[in-house]
Amino acid sequence: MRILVVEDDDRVAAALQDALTQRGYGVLRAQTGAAALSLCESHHVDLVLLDLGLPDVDGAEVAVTLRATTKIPVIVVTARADLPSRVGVLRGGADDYVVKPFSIAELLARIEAVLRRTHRGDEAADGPIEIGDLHIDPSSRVVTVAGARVALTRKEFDVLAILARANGAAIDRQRLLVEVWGTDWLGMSRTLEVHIATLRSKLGRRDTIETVRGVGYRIPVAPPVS
Amino acid sequence: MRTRLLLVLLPLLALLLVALETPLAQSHAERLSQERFLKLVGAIEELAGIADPVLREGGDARRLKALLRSTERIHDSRLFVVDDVGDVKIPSGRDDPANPGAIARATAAALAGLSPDRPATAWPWRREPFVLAAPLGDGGRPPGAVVAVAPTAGVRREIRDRLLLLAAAGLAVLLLATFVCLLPLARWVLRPVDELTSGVQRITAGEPDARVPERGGPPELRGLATAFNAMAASVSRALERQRAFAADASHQLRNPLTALRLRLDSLALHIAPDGERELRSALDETQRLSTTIDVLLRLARAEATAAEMTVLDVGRIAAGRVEVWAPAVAAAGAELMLSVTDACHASCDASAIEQALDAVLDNALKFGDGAAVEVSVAQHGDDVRVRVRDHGPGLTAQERSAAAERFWRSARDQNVDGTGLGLTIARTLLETCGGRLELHDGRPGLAVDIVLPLADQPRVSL
Repeated sequence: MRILVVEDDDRVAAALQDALTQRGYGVLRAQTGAAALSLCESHHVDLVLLDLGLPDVDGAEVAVTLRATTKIPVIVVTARADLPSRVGVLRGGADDYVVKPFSIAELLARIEAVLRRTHRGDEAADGPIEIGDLHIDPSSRVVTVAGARVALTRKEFDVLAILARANGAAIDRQRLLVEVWGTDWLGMSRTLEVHIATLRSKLGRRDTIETVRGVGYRIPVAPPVS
Repeated sequence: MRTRLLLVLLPLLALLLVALETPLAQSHAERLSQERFLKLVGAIEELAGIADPVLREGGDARRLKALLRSTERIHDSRLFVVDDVGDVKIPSGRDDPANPGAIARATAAALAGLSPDRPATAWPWRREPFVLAAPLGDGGRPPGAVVAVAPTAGVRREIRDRLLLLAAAGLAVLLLATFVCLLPLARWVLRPVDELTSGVQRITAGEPDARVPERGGPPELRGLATAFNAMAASVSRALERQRAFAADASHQLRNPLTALRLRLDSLALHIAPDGERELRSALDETQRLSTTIDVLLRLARAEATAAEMTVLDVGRIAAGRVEVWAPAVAAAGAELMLSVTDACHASCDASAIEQALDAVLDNALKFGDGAAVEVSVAQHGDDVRVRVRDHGPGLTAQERSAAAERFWRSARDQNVDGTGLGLTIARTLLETCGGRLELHDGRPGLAVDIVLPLADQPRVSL
């Protein structure tokens, strides 16, 4: 597996390179958007890790070009400050994003999830999700636990669906706030906590959704049965 | 302002009209009085010519009497003839309303050989009749005099009508001038002021590129418009710079933090089990640093973002937030109560109020010692107050005045989770939409007031 790291900051790039190499990935590095596009043509690349703040072009444009010319999946790396650009990048064809600073664990989980999706050709992640006896149908927005239907509000459903789709990976608080509430203000995280608390009580088990300290929440793929 | 301008200009114009019309009125009144006087003088002098031989030689008094009566009718006056000592020789046919003083004076003058004096002008408010006396004979000591007492009612009525006409004409001129000159003038002077007002309102309402026209109106106000535009431009440049700073700072701080985080993660593979606690703490610190950067940037953006002003039902917004927070408060073992005393509307940015309320409720929950938190919405004068009151230990007056400053934390809460920026952000958000944050002694506990400007009419929100 070869990953192209497009990052203008040498120290971040070096840290990424080391971390990914340690875990068995081949790493190429490009400093500019132009270099990234030419490397994708000249080398075999399985995935692009694309920083948005590039010296020559806007990272979002690189994502759009890559999507138009190749089938290489793209994970965008972004700073938290620019919420609109993140939304734009996802609409413009990126497969996922991570927010600086991110942990290796989070990055690896996203890389694996994106690669798995690409290999399955499963573009629309809209199919029903099944975790233990929890069944989530995103198209009809119906959730059942052991066959019994659970009534959820729109936001509760959105939070649950995002957590369930992550395939066991932890989703950070900020990401949930952005994707469900359209804000990245941490002051809102109390609201998120409340929704998580309600979800836990509605799903009938406190440990369906695990709290990952300092990061956010995850749904273990095989939830312990209480 | 328009009314005041008119209040200054209208009296000036009225004064000018009075100054122009007074001499005109005077000359009219004098001319009419003069006419009446001349006719009377003509009549009594003619009578004097006829009465002279009658009195001097004892001629036929009947013709004189008849003439006297007919003249009385023609001139609507009382006429009589006196002899050289002032005794009435031929009396008037009419009743005698007393005017003895004036009659005596006029008679004495005539008997001294003087021609009748022109009486004072017959202004409408003067009721005295004209009293005239013409001496008999021509030269030498007159043998008597013809005396006329002529009421001036007719003349006075005529003069009054003229005066009323003049006043009406003056009023008409005043009205015409108001609509043709004064109002357009006031509009011309005030248009730049109106434009400045709407320019300021548009900028306040989040349109930083709003400018006002620099043409039209008096030069001083044109200068003001130019100065306003220059100020608006420099303010929006400053805002732009601040926004740019937020983005730059984010980039500059985030990259080293990302590298640090990744290096710590990689280090985990090489670390002995007894060092794991240290590593976990180091990772926690990067997380804390990252949160602080986020909140700082949020603050910078709150300062740089213009509010979207709408008229909002404050009670409904408070109810919405209380509903969201109630489970979290209940989970903390406390109780959240809402009382909306007045249904009031405020002009503000909805998300600003919500975020400010979140920050304040977050604080109340952290520092309220798990006791009840009360939220109330009430109108106070021109303000709408949303009060969040906890039953915790509260803050001293000195602490209250410092609590909304950046990074302020109470000495006893240094280690509670948070950045010390919650109230600062709440205050900043409220100030961008014309509100403010006030901290009061809740007796016991802390009472935080979100103060918003009252809006008169609820408008349909989109």
